[in-house]
Amino acid sequence: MKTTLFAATLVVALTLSAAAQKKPAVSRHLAGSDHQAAGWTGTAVPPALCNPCLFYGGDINTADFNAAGMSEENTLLIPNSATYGNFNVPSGSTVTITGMLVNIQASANFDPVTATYDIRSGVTEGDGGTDIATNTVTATVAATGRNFIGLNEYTVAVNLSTPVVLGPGAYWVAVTPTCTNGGLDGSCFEGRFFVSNTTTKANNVHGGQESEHQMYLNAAFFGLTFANWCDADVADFNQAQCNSLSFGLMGSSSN
Amino acid sequence: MKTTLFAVALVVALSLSAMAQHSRPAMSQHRAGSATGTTVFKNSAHPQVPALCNPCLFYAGDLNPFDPNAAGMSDENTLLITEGGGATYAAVIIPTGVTATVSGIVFNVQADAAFDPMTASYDVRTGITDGNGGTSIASGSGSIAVQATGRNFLGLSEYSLAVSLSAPLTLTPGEYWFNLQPQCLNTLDGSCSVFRQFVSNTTQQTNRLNGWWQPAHEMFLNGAFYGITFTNWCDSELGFNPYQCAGMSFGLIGTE
Repeated sequence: MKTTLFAATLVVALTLSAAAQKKPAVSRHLAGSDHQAAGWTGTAVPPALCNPCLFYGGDINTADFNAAGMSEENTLLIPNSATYGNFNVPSGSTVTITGMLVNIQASANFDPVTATYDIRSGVTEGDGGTDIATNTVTATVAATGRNFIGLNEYTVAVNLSTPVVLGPGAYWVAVTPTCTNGGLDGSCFEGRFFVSNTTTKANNVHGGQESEHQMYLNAAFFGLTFANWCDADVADFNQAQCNSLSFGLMGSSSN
Repeated sequence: MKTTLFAVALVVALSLSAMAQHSRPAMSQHRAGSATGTTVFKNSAHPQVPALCNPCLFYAGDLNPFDPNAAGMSDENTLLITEGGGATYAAVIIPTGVTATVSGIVFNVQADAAFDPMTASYDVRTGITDGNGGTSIASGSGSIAVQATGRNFLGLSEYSLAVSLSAPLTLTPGEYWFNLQPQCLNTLDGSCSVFRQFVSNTTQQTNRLNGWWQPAHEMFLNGAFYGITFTNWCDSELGFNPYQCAGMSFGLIGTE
């Protein structure tokens, strides 16, 4: 109990320190460390909602100094802030994406329980590339059981309104949860959603198909247009913190 | 925007300061307070009571967020404030010659935790004294109606919550204490583990309807989480001045 409260104090104090200065922080994280965690080996157990699980980047390691959360939210405090993770379809393969999920550290309620998904190609620094599919749909939420600096983490999954077939190449995806019910829900004015990173890729499924250092933040609220999370002016992340995103894709592959 | 964020930072920093010092979340949110509180009540021929107080038998008056003695008092049952949470009770004295029928209770609550699920417990008591909960004459739980008041105190939006009693309660002259305690117990809701719900006080009793029925300094906090058993909000251990602990912003639905 005391540990949890201290942790909550720490993280919210950090966030609010930033808020008091100008705007809410774009991320939440510990100080970071040059020491990179050892790679993960074992039998993957991806989130149950990743079913059938085509790809899963891996879990956040909450004990890692390089664990982090990145703004992924559409709320009455932070509107339309989306973090994109990268996924590569190997040469000679074709995949059909039926759903997507992200692991979210949340202090806001998912209210309404919807999320906006977006799939893009050709994202580069400052350029959102080409939009392939986007929609706002009902989400499914499940607790992961993890807690990072006081915030519980949840898996937020959506089914695409229409399956998307992708050929070989690089793609970027985002799933942005919503808290816009301010008439009934005070958490939408104060709470935050942060998508987790993954440093050890624990429980990854084809985790190698996510390129390193290819996470982007697109958020007019923060004055950022598809800014790489490794950029010093985004969150001052180190290379381990901005390495990979904890997200998944549901669907199937042709081979 | 900057003002709001600063206010958010201020209030949560205050709360968290208390948490860090005492290892527990604060029981209230408030400014420093002023020893020269405003005691000029604002009667109105046509008080604008909360729309949910209908038919409105009694309304104590609005929170004045600009008053240095404005405050919020723990009234919550959440995944943060556990063990049944904290419940704040306030009193009305049914005057001699009046028989009132109460069918519902309205509380004005400052909340950054969601109301999730949209239910609340209620409790009506007699004979509360310091350290003694007296006798419960009606209690239960039910779904709540929620409506934003449009007010914001130290960064938290305020909402009117109304619950209907399972059966109308007939009250003869005497003193009664009322509580409505909202919840945030949904394990799929991140706000339930970190955020708060506080019932508002009222310093000027703006928009009061039969507001004089509420005796001053008769608000009590009961919460195992805090190790508190029906402690008067005016007790020095809770840190309020006499203006902050004078009256609560709540209403009763019913007729006389």
